[in-house]
Amino acid sequence: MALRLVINSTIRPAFNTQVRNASALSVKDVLAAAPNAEVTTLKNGFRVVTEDNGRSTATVGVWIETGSRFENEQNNGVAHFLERLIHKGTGKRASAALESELNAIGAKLNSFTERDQTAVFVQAASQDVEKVVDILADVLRNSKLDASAIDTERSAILRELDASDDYYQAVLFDNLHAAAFQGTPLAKSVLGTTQSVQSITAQQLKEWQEDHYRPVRMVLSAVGGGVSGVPQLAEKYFGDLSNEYPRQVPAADGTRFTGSEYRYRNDNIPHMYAAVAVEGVGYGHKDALALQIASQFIGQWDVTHATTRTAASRLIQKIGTDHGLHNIQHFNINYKDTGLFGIYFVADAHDLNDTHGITKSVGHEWKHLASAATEDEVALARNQYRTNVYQNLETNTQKAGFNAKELLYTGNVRQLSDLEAQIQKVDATAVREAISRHVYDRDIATAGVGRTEAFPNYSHIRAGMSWWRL
Amino acid sequence: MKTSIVTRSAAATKAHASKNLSTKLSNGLQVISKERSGAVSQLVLAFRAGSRYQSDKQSGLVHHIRNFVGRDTSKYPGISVVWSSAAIGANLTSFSTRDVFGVQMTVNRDHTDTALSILGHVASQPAFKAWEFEDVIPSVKSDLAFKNSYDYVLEGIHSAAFRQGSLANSIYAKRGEIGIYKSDDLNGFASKHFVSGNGVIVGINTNSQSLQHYADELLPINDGSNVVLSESPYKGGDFRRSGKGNDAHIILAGNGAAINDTNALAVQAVFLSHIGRVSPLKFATLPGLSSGLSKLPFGVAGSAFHASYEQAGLVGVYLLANGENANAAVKSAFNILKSPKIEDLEGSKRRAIAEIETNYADGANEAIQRAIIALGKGPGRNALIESIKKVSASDITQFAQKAFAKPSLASYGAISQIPYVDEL
Repeated sequence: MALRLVINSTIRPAFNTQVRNASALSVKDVLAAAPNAEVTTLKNGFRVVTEDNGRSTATVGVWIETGSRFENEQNNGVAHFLERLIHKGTGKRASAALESELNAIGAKLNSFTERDQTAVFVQAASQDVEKVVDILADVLRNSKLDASAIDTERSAILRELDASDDYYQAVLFDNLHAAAFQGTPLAKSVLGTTQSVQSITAQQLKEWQEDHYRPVRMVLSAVGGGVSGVPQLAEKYFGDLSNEYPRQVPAADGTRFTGSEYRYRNDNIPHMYAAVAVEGVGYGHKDALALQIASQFIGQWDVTHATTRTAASRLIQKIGTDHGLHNIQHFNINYKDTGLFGIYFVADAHDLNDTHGITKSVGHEWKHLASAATEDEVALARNQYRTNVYQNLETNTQKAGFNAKELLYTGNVRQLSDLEAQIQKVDATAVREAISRHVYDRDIATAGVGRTEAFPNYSHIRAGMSWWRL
Repeated sequence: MKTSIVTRSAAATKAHASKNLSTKLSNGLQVISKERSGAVSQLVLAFRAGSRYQSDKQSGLVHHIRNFVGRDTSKYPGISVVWSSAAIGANLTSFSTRDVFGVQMTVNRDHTDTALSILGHVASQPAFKAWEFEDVIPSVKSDLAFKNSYDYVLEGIHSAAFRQGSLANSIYAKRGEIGIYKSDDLNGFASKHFVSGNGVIVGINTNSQSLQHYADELLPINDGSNVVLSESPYKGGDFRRSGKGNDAHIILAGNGAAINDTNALAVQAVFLSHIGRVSPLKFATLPGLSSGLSKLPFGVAGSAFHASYEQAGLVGVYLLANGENANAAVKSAFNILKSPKIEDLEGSKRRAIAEIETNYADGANEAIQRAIIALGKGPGRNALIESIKKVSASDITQFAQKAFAKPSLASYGAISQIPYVDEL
């Protein structure tokens, strides 16, 4: 109650809008005037989304629906393996030639693979867009996959797998997926396992490329200056790709969330890394935005932040001191058809009192969101989300990724002005309903890495997911 | 809070709507505004108040000041600052370099005006209450705990290169300096440096007229003149610190371009592109097969490095080697730096320009860059790009010869085999 008074007495009068200016542009004005993302579909189903913003730089890339959720025990890691080989040259351009060709125009070829997509994109100057599309088509379609490159990359991946044990946050999220989605392909990690990486053959890589790099599974996304001609370039360089599947059409098996716990205790790691999550929603789900805004309530905090007792979050005020907490971050991961909504934190974990205090407070916050979130609070979270989301779509590369993901996951591209209108519609009722549907009294998956002796008791956290029990 | 001003400013704006602005007010404050038609505003209020302005008795002071951001200001309590900025969805960050201290705010542009009024109080009127040290000191300690090997050599190369000069001052407080200062010490520094003639306000995606109006009439900044810079010329030398493990982190640097020397900055940018930062391909060896650094010994990663300040700068490479190959790595890197063989001049220029474009693609980064450049009287993005286009191969060779006549070397980790600069 004391805190509510603080909110009310500080938000409003303290800093009034002294410089309110009638002719200043609002977010809505700016987004309404922003260049539109335009979608073109080629005859073979290959989709192109372009957004010409007139800048002197451009990002052009291909986003492909593939990734570790399409893999099995034997070939786990193959999507990432293939992504790495894309940088190792084609029949036309050896790796060194590819490098010097990019160097000559000051461009960079970048890529990443996740559980449900691989992206390969080039950042370049706007006058080089055609050359970039040529390079992209070449590396995606004619990758050489020669034996020596495969062997070199295999040992590099095995070294990376070795080193990946030290990235505790990544290990934690892999373990969380392994628990929450056990028995389904989403449980598998992107890097694969030592056994699977050792056994992946050139033939498997080639077949993976043939099965997945098909026009209907690919989106060419271009944002920047000089990209309005990209649909014609796509026709020229990708128009002849066929939709024939030499084997079978790859499909991601169904999803299933299992309430469970995965603890990896290693007292040589200095802290406890922990995550607690419920099943979230798919990218296009009607509650996706409400959950994203709910996620802002807790946001992110770590010990280098300037605030603890004065933090703009009730939760941080409560647990930012005296709980041995180093870092806490709320996450809301959306895949195409499911997701994870939860909290990740790092703590000293000296005793159960500390750790249970943290999870109990998080549970309390979620229950508050389900039953008592106020319009004031939601307005604050909405404003924070708007700042973050638009800031993270500023660069060509970020916007190209957004457009491609929209198209791959929903079949449409939302203009940012539509997104803004949707955000404005998320009010306290929408947040309360979304949290009640997806978080309140739902099963949880938990994961712990490091000093997990004082990992909070599963049944306690689960009981704390509803008012009935705790 | 005078409502009469509101109307006047609105009328004024309609009369002359201009998108970009770069001007100096009568009190000496610089005002810079740039419209990128984005939905998020980036605001920076910065002063020439980095760690180089600390006297011998003030070592580590600016680090304390930086971590005080978000606490009480002379008019408003810290909690009101924090919650007011949270309510409008703003993120507040403080930053400091050797030259500059500043506060940066990111906010959706519906709330730019409120954010500006918060920024003014936070950056120019901190109160440094005595009882707040208790909350601030742990965050200074956390910053030290988060220092990594690169930070050690980065600090080290400054103390090696600038010796007794003010640029050798670390941006971090040393362990023994944490908590030794009192409110009066911080206030004394702030009253001298956080003044109009010594500062700049930058707004990206803001209305330039209302920014100017705010700076001119509402910003609660004290009047004062430009602080005189104590010179800190490049001298050169060694810094060595042993650490556990077999990795050796090394920065080898020479006398680089100062922030206001456009031609030298342009030549340096092309030189660094030739040396190489990262490969244009992912999963490749640093920094790629065709770069100057490709001739480093096997197993050594390297990447071009530079730091530019008022009246001085550093240029060189960061090397990640191990105890066995560190000696060879430093010697070969020195030869590569001292006598560059430019075969790909046009490509190097393209990469240098692309790097500038990338730096400016991010609005927050652009706002901070513009503030630092304005305070150091450096060239804007276009001026620098134009200057880069005119660089010739002989410019680069001459630049490198001059820069590496007296090298500096900082190392951390397995350092026993690393040469001293007089052995190069």
